[in-house]
Amino acid sequence: MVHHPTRRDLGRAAAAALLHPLGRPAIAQGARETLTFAAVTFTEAGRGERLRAWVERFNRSQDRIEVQAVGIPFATLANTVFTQMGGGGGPDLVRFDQIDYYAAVAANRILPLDDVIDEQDYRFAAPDRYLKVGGKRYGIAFESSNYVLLYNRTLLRGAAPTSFDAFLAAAREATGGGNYGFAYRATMAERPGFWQDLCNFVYGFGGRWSDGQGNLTLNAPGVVEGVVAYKRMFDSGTTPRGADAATYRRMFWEGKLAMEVDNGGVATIFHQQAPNLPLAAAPSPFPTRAQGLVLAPLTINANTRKRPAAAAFVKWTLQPEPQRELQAILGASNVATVVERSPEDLAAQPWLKVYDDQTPNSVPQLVEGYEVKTPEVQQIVLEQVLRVLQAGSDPKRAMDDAQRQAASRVRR
Amino acid sequence: MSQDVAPGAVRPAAAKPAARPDEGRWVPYLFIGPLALYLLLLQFYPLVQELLLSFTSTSLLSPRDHTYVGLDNYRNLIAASDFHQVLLVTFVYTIACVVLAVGLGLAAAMLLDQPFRGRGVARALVTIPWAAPPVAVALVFVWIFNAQYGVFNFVLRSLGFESGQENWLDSPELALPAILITTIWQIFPFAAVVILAALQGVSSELREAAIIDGADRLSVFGAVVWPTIRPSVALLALFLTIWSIRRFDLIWLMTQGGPIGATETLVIKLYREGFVYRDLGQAASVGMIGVAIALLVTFVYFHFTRRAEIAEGRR
Repeated sequence: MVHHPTRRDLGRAAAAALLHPLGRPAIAQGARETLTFAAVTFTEAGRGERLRAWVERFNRSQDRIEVQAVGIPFATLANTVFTQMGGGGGPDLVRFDQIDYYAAVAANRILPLDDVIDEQDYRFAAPDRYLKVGGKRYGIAFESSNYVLLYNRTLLRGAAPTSFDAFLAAAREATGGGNYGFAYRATMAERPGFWQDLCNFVYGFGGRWSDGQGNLTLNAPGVVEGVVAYKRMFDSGTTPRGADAATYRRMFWEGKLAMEVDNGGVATIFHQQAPNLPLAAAPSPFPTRAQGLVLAPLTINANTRKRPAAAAFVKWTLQPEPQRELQAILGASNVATVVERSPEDLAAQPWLKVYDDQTPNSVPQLVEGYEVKTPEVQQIVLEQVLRVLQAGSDPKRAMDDAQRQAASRVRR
Repeated sequence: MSQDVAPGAVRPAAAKPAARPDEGRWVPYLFIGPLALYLLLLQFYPLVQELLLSFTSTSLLSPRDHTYVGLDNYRNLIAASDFHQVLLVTFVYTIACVVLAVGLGLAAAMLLDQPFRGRGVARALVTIPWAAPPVAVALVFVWIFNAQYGVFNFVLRSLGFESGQENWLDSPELALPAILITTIWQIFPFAAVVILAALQGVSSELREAAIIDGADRLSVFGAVVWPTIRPSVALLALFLTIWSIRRFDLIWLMTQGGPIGATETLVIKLYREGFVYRDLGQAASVGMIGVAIALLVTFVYFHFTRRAEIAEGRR
């Protein structure tokens, strides 16, 4: 039987054709359910386009569901999505950063996935353990990324440092002639990045923000030693003070910066933007191997009216082939399940192995037990660290103040 | 032409128009109505909502779930030492903005009021900073103040200042001056334009008469120019005060209120509580304090304006 399009069919088709960014034939997709998927990564240069193409592969793999990628900048994603969720809407699928993931769970803004995912079916990577809250799973790792020391082999003139003193000496030696030895963030204008960099120093010196039993440990010896190290680097004259991350990362791929401690996503961007850069990686030169962890889970909005379709996309994401493709796009970052890298990739990019080996030592950049209160603790800690860096305050006294203020704040 | 009427005669009653309602009496309401509706719906209602919100514990993630906490949010603010610093920074920033913008604007307006070649071009050029988008201005000034590559330090070094490596935006002592320099650069042209417009109302006859009588420039300004432009300058100061109290974009983009709270004003505090800590109730209490300060400033302005008008016999 031939179906003659009615006026309503034509109207729908016209509207869909107008709204669809790629302008694909709309009548053929009339019955498809459309989902929105919001993520910061869709806005990234290079990776963003490839991730959109990866989502398109899902759309082509079946004819029932259409996922539309929505790119929202890092600075506004959480507030935009949370405001929409608070109003009863929001994207169907969201890639959150870990700090926002726990807040979303606490406010019942995302759905538990235990009835969607049978854990027996997958071999999850190590960071997956951080996605369970109260024994329930609310997301899968869309991307997780470790921190290691990245360096320019030409500028470093020797082996990577393995101790903090050697690190400082190497940074001094590489500084001069318009080049800098090391770069990190130390301004409130880059608060989230400042926190990430500080976490690497503190974790590297054995510190943690809490004992996991509900007690803050902001003035514990390991934390104070990490802050002292941060200050020593600040005073060493080897860093481009005031340069933001975008600037010093550009300096790195232009060969003007010898070292930085950064995550695998950044290393991948360096490799893509400057294939000839003599890029190398080594474990961060701190007393312990512990470093921060970037963990970005894929979640389903509790307000969605298309739960089965959203669940179908999550399950597709976990299939071996999409995982392998996603891993290839994300480069030195990891995906939800364990994906073995090809010998060719490892031979061409030996620094990938350094990132992969770091996985067991990566710790979320959160205050364990106070995940939802992390932004408030973060603000207090960073202000005290700035007092140490800028005003010459005693690190122990500053962290004692941080401990007192934060303890009072989290009780509110 | 007069018409004689005999004594005792009764003048025929003039034809009175039928008693009709005054058709024009609704006209003012028609004009005021939309504005009143706008104020009620988009200003007064949100303000009442904000006030109610400030007595609750409400998360950005669940804005419909309120827990009544009475005055706890206000108590938290008063007890926190950092809030006292927020008020101080807001006060210093606002006063400096108003005084410097009006002072520079007055000087620029007086210069631009003089006849000289290219005056039209100069007047147009002065308005450019005011027209520039604040986001672009903030990003440009972040580079200007950069410790290593910034033009500002380069100029200081060229002028022979040894400390030409200042980290302006990261130093607790220098961050607020840096923010003020940026703000003043952007807002003083508005002050200049307003004062320049007011200067056009100064009577040239009075000015010339004063000069003929032997008054010097300062006396002419004090006796002739200032009384004429004073109402405009007062209104300008009111606007600049309120705009300075609520300025967000420049400060957030340049320092996010840091370092160590050195540039944290009320509005930055409000944003941080609401959108970083996601505590809408606490943010609303900060907002209500800001509203109270703005109302106080407005009240003071109208009080002094009224007194001045009474003194001048205009009331």
